[in-house]
Amino acid sequence: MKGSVLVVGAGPTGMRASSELVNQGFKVILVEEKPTIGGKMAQIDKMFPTNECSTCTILPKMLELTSNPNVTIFSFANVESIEGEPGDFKVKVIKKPRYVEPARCTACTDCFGVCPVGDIPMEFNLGRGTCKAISFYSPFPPRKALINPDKCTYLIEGKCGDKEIPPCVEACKPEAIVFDQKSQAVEFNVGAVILATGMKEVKSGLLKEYGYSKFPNVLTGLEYERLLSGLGPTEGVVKRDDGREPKSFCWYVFDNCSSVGFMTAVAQSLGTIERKPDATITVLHGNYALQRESYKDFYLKAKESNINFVQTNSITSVKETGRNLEICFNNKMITVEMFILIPPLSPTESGRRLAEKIGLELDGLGFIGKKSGYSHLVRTSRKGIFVCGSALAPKGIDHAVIQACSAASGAVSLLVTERGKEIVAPPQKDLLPVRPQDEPAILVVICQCGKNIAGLLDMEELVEYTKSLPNVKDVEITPFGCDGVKIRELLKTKDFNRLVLGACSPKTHEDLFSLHAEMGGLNRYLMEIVNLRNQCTWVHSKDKKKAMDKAKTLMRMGVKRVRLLESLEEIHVSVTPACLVIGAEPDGISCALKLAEANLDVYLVEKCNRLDRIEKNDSPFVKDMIEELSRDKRVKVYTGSEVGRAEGFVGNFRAEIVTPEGKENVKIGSIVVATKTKMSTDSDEGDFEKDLLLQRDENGFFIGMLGILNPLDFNTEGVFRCGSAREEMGTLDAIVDGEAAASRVAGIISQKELVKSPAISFVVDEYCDGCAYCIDPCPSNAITLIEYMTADGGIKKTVEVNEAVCRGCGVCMATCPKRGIFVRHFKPEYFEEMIKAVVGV
Amino acid sequence: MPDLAKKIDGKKFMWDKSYYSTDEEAHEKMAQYRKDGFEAECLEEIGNYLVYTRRLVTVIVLEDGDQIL
Repeated sequence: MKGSVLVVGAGPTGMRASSELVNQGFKVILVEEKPTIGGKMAQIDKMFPTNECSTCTILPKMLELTSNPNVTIFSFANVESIEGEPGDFKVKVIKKPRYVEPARCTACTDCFGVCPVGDIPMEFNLGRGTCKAISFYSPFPPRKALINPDKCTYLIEGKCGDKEIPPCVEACKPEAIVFDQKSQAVEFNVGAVILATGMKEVKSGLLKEYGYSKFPNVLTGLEYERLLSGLGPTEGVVKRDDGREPKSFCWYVFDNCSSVGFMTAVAQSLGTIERKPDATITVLHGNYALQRESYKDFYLKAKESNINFVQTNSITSVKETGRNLEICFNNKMITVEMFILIPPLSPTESGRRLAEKIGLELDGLGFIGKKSGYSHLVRTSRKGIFVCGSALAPKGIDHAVIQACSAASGAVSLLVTERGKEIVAPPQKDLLPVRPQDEPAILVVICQCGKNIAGLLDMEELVEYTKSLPNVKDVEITPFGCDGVKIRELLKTKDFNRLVLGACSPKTHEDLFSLHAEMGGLNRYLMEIVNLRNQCTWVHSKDKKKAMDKAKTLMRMGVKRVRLLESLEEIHVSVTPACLVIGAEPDGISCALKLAEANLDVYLVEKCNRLDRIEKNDSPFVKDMIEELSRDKRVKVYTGSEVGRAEGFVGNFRAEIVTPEGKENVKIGSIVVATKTKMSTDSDEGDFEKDLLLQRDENGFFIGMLGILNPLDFNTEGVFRCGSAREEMGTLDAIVDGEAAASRVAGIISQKELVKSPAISFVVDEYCDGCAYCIDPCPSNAITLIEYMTADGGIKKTVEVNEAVCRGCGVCMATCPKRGIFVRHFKPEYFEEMIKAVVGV
Repeated sequence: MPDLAKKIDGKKFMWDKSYYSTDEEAHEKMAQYRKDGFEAECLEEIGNYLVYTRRLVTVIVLEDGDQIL
């Protein structure tokens, strides 16, 4: 039996499955056919129905995986074969030649400048924008150059330039270019397989009827996403082929699209009207039943934004007249400057081929299908091989992520005895001891971020300026700080006890940079990130002087702050390996069973005695699950019961179960709410919903955390919702939802302890007089008031912070009138120094 | 100067700001504090005995008279 899992496809679904598995102690081999990870999500601008920025959402997840030693990523590779049995599959992967050795490529881009072959349409931008014959595939990881063998002069003609050595080879200092690189087969064994091979737009001859590939300003939806994207060929400014910015648009959603196609048009039209409020937008569409409330709300928002939605069965003609396009439908004609087609979606070619090779059944559209009757959504006809996301059928990202968690849960059940056997422990930290009284010796590393920062800021000027700041010992430039090479190398000299990174947003990169700092031997809390990219070169992209002035100010602030920072140690919190599942509908039952299969204890509470009888209309799946539940020793079922008070924090909750026989207190590490039914008692017994800060919407469903990648999470860490607790759904979806919640829970309670940031509130007892103003505003209920005696008989007051519960939000610090409480790593004096740096005091 | 606050069994205790020369003296004081409903702990530090106490406040009255339950 192997304790590792093969995940095929590194879009949001495959990435999420990988992340769930690693969190639960299983090694992952992630195979992606494209040279970079992220899938279609990396190509789109914003996601429906939350309108979140796709890049900002997925990039931290990409970096989390690429820096995890227990995830091996084979990008630009295909799975050739999968043989064997559940628990021991033999896998063969073919790595395609890049002609660049990834381990040696430092992403310096020196080779790009000397390559004589340019103007090659960028595949990632779907033909828009150009690149050299040696280039990056996309702005996303793994950021390694590759050579296009169909365009490279040396690969085609055997010679490039006047010299014997091609210019790119001459420019490449790390000697990463390998022209004789061939496809390479890699074989390994895994215990389970998850297919997350995604989908693609169907660009059949059908599109030609509507002017696609005939008229340059007729695009597909995905092509239009690249125009909307800030990382796209037009940097987020929608432009026609002639460079003009269009003001009139039409979308056509093909009749045989799912609601996904329609929602794509809604999101794109909203993204367009946000940029151009005076744009004229028409969306032509078929008849779609939007079942999800969130989809309906998103559609209504678009309608209220003056987007004209028109139902039509077909378009009769599309003509180009001068610069415009004339579109005829429903006996009407409209004239627009850009026409966007939302075609049907089909599985990727590689996904379909692999499914056929390993003997999985496909449905009429080529998606991985089910035989008949009731079948589990993410299981396939081959035991040990799971499928999730758009490889099954087109769906929204949140839905795909849930299926990914469910598939991970299935793989864990199969391999539970091998948990932790193949993963490697994180390396021991060997950190430089730094005392507050030590003279700061600051290293500044400025990241060029390709052209993102270096394209606008004069690097040399910024380096010279930064060198003049107090306690700065060295300033270096790196092409991409996120690879960590220069940061680690310089810190390992032990010549520095503070680090300032002039780079990008801490929101996306702080964890990664912290990891690099620690690998270099520096405590992560002695590092400061200055956001040169988002806050200087992006927002002031049209004003070099302003960008540079701001960059200098921010660097000054960063250096001033880092001088005061102190080493901090992470907080370790033990975990109770048990879960409370509230509600025994199919979602709650499937959640409980999956946790039990993962060798974790469960308390399952149901109010209505439903488990005592098997309903006539229950599916065979549900009947089987109820029978299984009765045999499972790890699940303790409380029928006719409710949940009273609940308290605690992630990893360590306590809850009161109110049974007909009396109350029982249980200790659990996590809680799942799997029902919409009110399960808490109204009287003196307490209300777990209030205690855990859970909220419901106007329809009675529980409101989850914001963010499309967290559909099952509450804002209260360690508490999850699934199935009917979050929206109306059918039995099969509810089962998958419950299993997905089990995966989220197991990611917490299968660990012995949780590591928590020390950047939490700290009481200065010399100043705190127990006025208690900080207690009520604390959103985590982390602060309590205590009294203490003095020897002269006086009674004094102060506050106490529950370190496990505090999230370091800083509300207490803002409330305190006496400087009696602050958040570690964010002391008031740090801010004072930064403000002085701005005003020049 | 000893720490004003100490974590004992995960709970915050505060020093009563007095040095006791013997264990008996410290325990006598602790008994007094306990009578008043305080939890009390004794720690030995560089030849001195230090007494730390705490009592959880359940009804909180702010300076402006508002009450938090």
